[in-house]
Amino acid sequence: MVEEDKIKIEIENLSFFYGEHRIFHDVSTKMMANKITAVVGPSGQGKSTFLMIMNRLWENIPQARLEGHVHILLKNRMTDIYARDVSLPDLRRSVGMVFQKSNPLPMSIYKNMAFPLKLAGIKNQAQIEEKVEAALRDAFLWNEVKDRLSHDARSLSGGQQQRLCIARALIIGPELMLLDEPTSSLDARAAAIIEELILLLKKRCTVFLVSHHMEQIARLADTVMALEDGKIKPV
Amino acid sequence: MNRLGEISVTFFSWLCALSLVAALGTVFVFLLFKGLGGMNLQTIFGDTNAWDALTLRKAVFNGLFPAIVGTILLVIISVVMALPVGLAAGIYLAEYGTGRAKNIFSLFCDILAGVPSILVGLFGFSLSIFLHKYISQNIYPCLLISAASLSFLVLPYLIRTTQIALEQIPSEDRLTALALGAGRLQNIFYVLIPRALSGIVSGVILSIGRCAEDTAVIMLTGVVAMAGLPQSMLAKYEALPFFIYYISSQYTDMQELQMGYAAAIILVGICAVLFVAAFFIKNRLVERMLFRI
Repeated sequence: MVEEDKIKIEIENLSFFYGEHRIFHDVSTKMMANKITAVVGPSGQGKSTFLMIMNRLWENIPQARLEGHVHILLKNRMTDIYARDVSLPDLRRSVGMVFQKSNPLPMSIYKNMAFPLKLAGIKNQAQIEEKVEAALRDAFLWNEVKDRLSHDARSLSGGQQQRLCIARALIIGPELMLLDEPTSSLDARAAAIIEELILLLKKRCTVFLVSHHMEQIARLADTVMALEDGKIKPV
Repeated sequence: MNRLGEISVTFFSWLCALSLVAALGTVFVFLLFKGLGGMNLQTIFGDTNAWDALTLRKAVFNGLFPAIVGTILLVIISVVMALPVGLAAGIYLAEYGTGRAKNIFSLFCDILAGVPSILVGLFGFSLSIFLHKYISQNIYPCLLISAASLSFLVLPYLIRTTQIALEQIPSEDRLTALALGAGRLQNIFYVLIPRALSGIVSGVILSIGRCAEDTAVIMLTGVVAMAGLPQSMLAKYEALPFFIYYISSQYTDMQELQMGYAAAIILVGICAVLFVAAFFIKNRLVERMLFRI
């Protein structure tokens, strides 16, 4: 299902605070579906926080506070993700996230991949196996790990770990992927594979990318926004 | 800091570490020196055949066997009673508690940790009198009351170590499973507790040691010098620390004193075995919890 020219995310009058410190001030913007939207800006401006607003992950940070509205197109319906009846696990299954530092859980590659499915209550082993393989293939990782699925995920190289994390986020079929500087801790070759992967991602979901690597943004992004002094500006 | 200062700080640190090892070594060597001669089957099982005693066919009257069994039962029952409450309270303080409620609970936890054990013993004693008077004439100070009182005593250790172990998990690791659609409880049970298990087990080990050595509480709540094996949870029982206490104050000959030292060695041994068991259970638990999902 391709949603050309549809609005995926709509942010209205968003302000964000850490304690008394204001990170964003009255931000309003839109992002298109099935595009790669990139946010650039100097570090410490709250780029990661901006991503976490889309899956409400910031709510686990003490003293953080948000004002304003965020609507995301989920299951073809513009959903106010801060509405009271939104289930956080459901939201985070629809809005996947990959962090700057790859974060495999201390278990085998297979268990890492199956983890989100188990969290979602899927118990059918054959179905799980099938999905694990498909997601690993999608992340260009299957051929490298198919013979050692039972090995500890932390024994993989940095680039492989990051691809595992992308595959793990993909396995539950998110509609929106949040990528927080996904290649910043990788060497050029590993980063190139991940860039290729990100370009393919937009066929199946909307990608929202944070990076401070301008060349990478130029190669990947359809739309670029800059985060500066608590405001979002188109570039 | 100048060179002399640096050398003296290093020297002092070494000296402190050394004194710790020396203190522990001295106690152990002293114990072994005094008690090893008394370590034999006669001390443990008295005049009863060891096999008959272990299979509970014959009672032991003049050996340490009933006290050993009493101590092991006491420790296990106390820790098993305290563990769920301690874990739950620790999880509450680390994951759910905020603001004033958390501060008040923390304060109570600290106060409980500071209560002298003799007071806990007195409470247990009063409780047994209360139960005897108002619930059932059959309730006296007994194994169950002792274990319940001891579980009060070790609760703060369990709560604090659980809380600290959970709070030490870096925030990135807390977010991993949540970002994958884990609910709050799923995150706690699948990710946070397995990560914190080492810390939690150290709390359990502290508690085991505390339950095994405490004398003040059990003296007031059901331990006696001669009871044989405890017949039920509501029966009187023997325990090693109490045996050591009364034999050291009332021994009549050197052989009895040596038996007291032997009891001390056995008590240390029981603690060691229980520590190892706690570690073993921890490893199995990590496997079960982390690799089940």
